[in-house]
This record gives sequence, structure tokens and C-alpha cells, in this order.
Amino acid sequence: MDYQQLHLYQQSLLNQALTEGIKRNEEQSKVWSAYKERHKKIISGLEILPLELSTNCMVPIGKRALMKGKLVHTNEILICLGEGYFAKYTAAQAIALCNRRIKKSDDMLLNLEKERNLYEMRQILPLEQDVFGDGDRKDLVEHWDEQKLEDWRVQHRQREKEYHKKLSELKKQEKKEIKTEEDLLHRLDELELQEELEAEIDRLQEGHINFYGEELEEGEVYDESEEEEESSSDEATNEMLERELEKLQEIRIQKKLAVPPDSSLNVTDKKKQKEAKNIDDTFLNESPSIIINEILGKPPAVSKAEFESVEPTNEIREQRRNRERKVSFVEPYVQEKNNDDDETPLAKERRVSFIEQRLPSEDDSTEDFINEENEKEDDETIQIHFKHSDIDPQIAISAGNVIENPRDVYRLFDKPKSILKRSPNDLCAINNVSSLLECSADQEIEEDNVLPGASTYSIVVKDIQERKLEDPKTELDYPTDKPRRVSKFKLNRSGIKN
Amino acid sequence: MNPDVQKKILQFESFMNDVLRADLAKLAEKLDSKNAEMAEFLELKSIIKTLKDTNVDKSGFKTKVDMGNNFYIQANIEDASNILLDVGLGHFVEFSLDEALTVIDVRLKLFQRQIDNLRKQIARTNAHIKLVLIGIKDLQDMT
Repeated sequence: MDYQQLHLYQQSLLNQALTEGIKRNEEQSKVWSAYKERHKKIISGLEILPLELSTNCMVPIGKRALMKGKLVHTNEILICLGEGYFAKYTAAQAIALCNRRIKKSDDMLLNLEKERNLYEMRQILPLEQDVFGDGDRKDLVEHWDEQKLEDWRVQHRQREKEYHKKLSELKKQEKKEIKTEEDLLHRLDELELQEELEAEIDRLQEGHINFYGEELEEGEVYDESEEEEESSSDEATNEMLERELEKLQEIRIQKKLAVPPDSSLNVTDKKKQKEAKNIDDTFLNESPSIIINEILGKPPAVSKAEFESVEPTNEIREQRRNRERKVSFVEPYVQEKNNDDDETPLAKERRVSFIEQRLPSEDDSTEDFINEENEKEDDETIQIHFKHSDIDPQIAISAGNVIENPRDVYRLFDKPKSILKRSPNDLCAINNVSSLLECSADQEIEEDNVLPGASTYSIVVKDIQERKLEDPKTELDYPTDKPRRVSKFKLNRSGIKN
Repeated sequence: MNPDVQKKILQFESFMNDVLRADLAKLAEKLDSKNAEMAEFLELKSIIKTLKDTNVDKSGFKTKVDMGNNFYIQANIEDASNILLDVGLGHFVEFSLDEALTVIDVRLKLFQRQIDNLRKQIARTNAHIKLVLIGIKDLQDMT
């Protein structure tokens, strides 16, 4: 059969089916409309019939005959529900039933109309839109077999791998960046910049509010609100800063360890001090170094020039550090303090206070704030330069139970603690316990306490000297010792607590 | 093949299809309707007979009247002695039951005759169709 003929045949078949469908539809709709009409008639009859008790009527007997009769029980209607079941209804109920049936027939008629529209559309559309007009319309065919699909999957996996690799590399790079000190500082600067920007934005917003809202008086109120906002918004960044600084500290400690204590003791000393001060300035942590500053008042004045002349490398380091710090907002106070004492203190104060603004959320901030204030007032220009005495450090390695320097404390008490219960006679053991308790507190404070008395000055200075001397060792020892010094029991307990 | 014969065959076929078969269909329809009417009258006859047999024609009886769509209402028939019969063209005549029976009998006889007549006609038409078919066959055989 020719394609054209087939096509025509198809079309005729379709048309035939459609016309048939329409015919059937019409019949159906006729039936349903008749059904509806009949019920309407019945409703009209039912409305009249119950009005009278009985009516004379001709009763049909079969189809060809009638008989005179009377309709009685006009309110009782027996209705065939289909399938040979009958129900006795009152007239009102029968009317309701009729209404239901009419509604149903209405629905049916509506659906039938829809169907007819569909059929007609289908009949007309091909003629109008020429859907089947040309045989040259092509199907959409995609050649895509199993093999190709498999290949594609492999490729896709590869690409995914590459992507993930890149992603991980990027992550690594980011992590790498914070390994060296410089990177860390860089990162810190970034964070601070970000913070600044945020603060600026806040300020701008505040300004907007002021501009549009009622006018606030300039100064205190305005500043306070700003501070609050900053504190709330910058909390996250503060935390980040904290973490970064901890890292920095670690790195510095490592560096310090690397430096031989003889050659650049001064440097390390100063560095350490400064570092401590840095941290204090930034975090307002109550740590002994601040206290030391306060107690000291005026240190044994070693002028800066002298100090610097002692070590040529010192200056370079200093410079580098300064350069590094110049970019940071956190440490300007220290920096300027170190460099030039003649600077106007006003600016410094402002800057320091800026830092404080950002950290009102810290617990002991107020206290430290006071400390800082005191410091500023008392010794705005005080520099604490520590220098080794000419005398060589003579570390008396004392024997027995005599405690002469901090080292002895560790020598004596740094023993594995037994978990067994002590007998009351064991004096040494009690001592041990108490010292252990102290050990858990701040190390430096402990050292201060343990040192046998002298003037406060000597305490501090010596303390620091001793500490410096010991530092490499002790610092090295701490991490390894710590787990040893704490008993299993204690560890467990702390673990549970945490 | 002879074109005349061809033509004749065509004519016969068309006659058979258009006239004889149409006649046959018509007659069958008529027969059906007559049969239905006769059945109705037979039914009526049996009803009247039962009415007479059960002696309800005096006492009356109850029945259900169809209002349409199988909605029934009860009706009381007090006097069942008279009945109205359809005499055609929408006219009803009142008869007593006995009279009605005789009328129905007459009608039934009439119907019977009509039906017989129709049957004959149908048979004749069928015979005509057969004849035509045979003729067509003969014509085809001739060629």
C-alpha cells in the first residue's frame, strides 16, 4: 500500500472513530437529558400530590386499559432504587432524591459536553492546523546506546574526581597559608579589616537611622549603641581572632625554642614579654605579666638605645616585627610604646579603646579595662626592658627536699602520683598532693609563690630571669609531663566533666 | 461476459437489496408491533379473567400506580366492575368486565388475522428474494 493511501486510510479511520464517538455522545446526552426531564416532571407531581389526602384518577391496567380509582397515601412513595430494591419515602424525601438524581444527570451532561468538545476539536484541528498534512515530518530520534551511556558515565566520574581534587587543593592552599607566621598575620589583618568594614557599615547604618529617625545627640549615646552593635556582630570574628592568636603564640614558642638561649636571650626575653603584652592587650586576659607591670612601676632602666646596641640582630628582628605589626590594628599600642615614647598618648588611647570596644563580651573585661587604664595613667611611657645580669646564671642544683628555685619544685614533686590511698603518716605525699593542686593553676604564679621571699622587685626580676633560663626546658617538658602528672582517676573525672 | 447480462445482474441485485429487503424489514416491523399489541391484549384478558375469578370486581382492590421512573403511589380501586378499553386513536370506551372480554376476544381475532397476513407477505417477500438470487446465479452461470 502506498504511503499516501495509508495516510488517507488512517485519516478516514480517525474521522470515522471521531464521528462515531460524537454520535454516541449525542445519544448519551439525549438519554441523560430525558432522564433529567422525567425527574423534573416527577418533582412537579410530587409537589402537588401530598397536598390532598386522596385523588380520583384512572388507574392504568396494563397498557390498553384503565380503571377508575383513587390515589391514597399520597405522602408515601415507593421508589425503585434499581436491582429490584425499593424504598419507601415521603414526598419531600422523594423530591430530594429527584434533586440528587438531577444533579448527577447534570454532571453527566457536563462531562458529555466536554467530551463532545474534545471530539469536535480533534475533528477540526487536523483540518485547520494541517497536523497530518505532510508526511515529511520527522520523529525526534536520539541515537544513544548502552556503550555510549557507559562511556559518558566514566567521563562524568572522571570529571567529578577532577573537580573534587581541585576543591581539596584549594582547601589545602587555604590551610597552608596559615602555617607561617607571616601568613597568620596576614590572615589576622584580613580579619581585622573585615571587622573594620563591618563596623563601618554598622556605623553607616546607624547614621542612616539617625538621619531618617529622630536626631540623636552626638557622642555618648551614639557611641554606646555602636559599641553594642559591634560587639554583637563581631563576636564570631573575635572568636576567630582568638583562635588565630593562639596559633601565633604556639608558633612563637616554637621559634623561641629554636633560638639558642645564650646568643639572643635578650631578644627572646623581650619578645616574650611583648608577646605576653600583645595577648593581654588584645584579649585582656588577666595574666601575670600585667600584674608584673603594675608592681614594677619603673623597671631597672635600661635605655632602648643601649638595649638595641647590645644586639645588632635584635634591631632587625624588631624592625621586622614592627613592620609586621604596622598592618595590624590590634597591637598599635604596643608598637608605639616600643618605638617612640614621645608620641601623643591621646591617639594611642583612642586606639586601645577601640580594641576594648570590640571586646566587651569578655567576662573579665571590666577588670582588665581598669588594669589597662591604670597602666596607662601610671606608666603611659613606662617601658619594661629586661636584661640579663652580668652574673652568669647559677643554678644551684640543690639536693634533698630543699626548694630553692622552681626547678626543685618539679624535681621534687614531679612524680607519678599513686592512686592508692595514702596513709596519714605520709607527709611527703600530702605535700605532693598540695603541690599538684597548685600545679594545675597558673605556672608563673606558682613560681612566684614558691620562690623564697625577697623584695618584690627581686622576686619579679629574678623570677623572670629564672623562668627565661628554664624556659626551654620547662616549656619542652610541659607537654610531655602533663599527662604523666595527672592520674588516671583525675583524667577520667575531667573527661566526664568535659 | 455479456454486458447486457452484467447489467441485468446489477439491476436484479439492486432490486433485491433496495426493494425486497426493505419490504421485508418493514413487514417484520409491522409484525412485531402487531405481536406486541396482541400480547398486551392477551395480558389484559388474563387480568380481567383473574379479576373475575378472584371476585375482586365487587370489593375493589389496592394497587400501585407508576408515576414514571418507578415512582409508585398506592391507589385504591373501589369499583372494579367497569373498565375502560383503548379502542384506538386515543379513545377509551367503558365496558363491563364481560363486555370487555368479548371485545378483547374480537380484537385478538383481528390481530391474529393481521399477523397471519403479515406472515404470508413476509414469506412471499422471502420467496421473491430467493427467486432473484437464483436468477442472478443462473445469469452468472450462463456466462
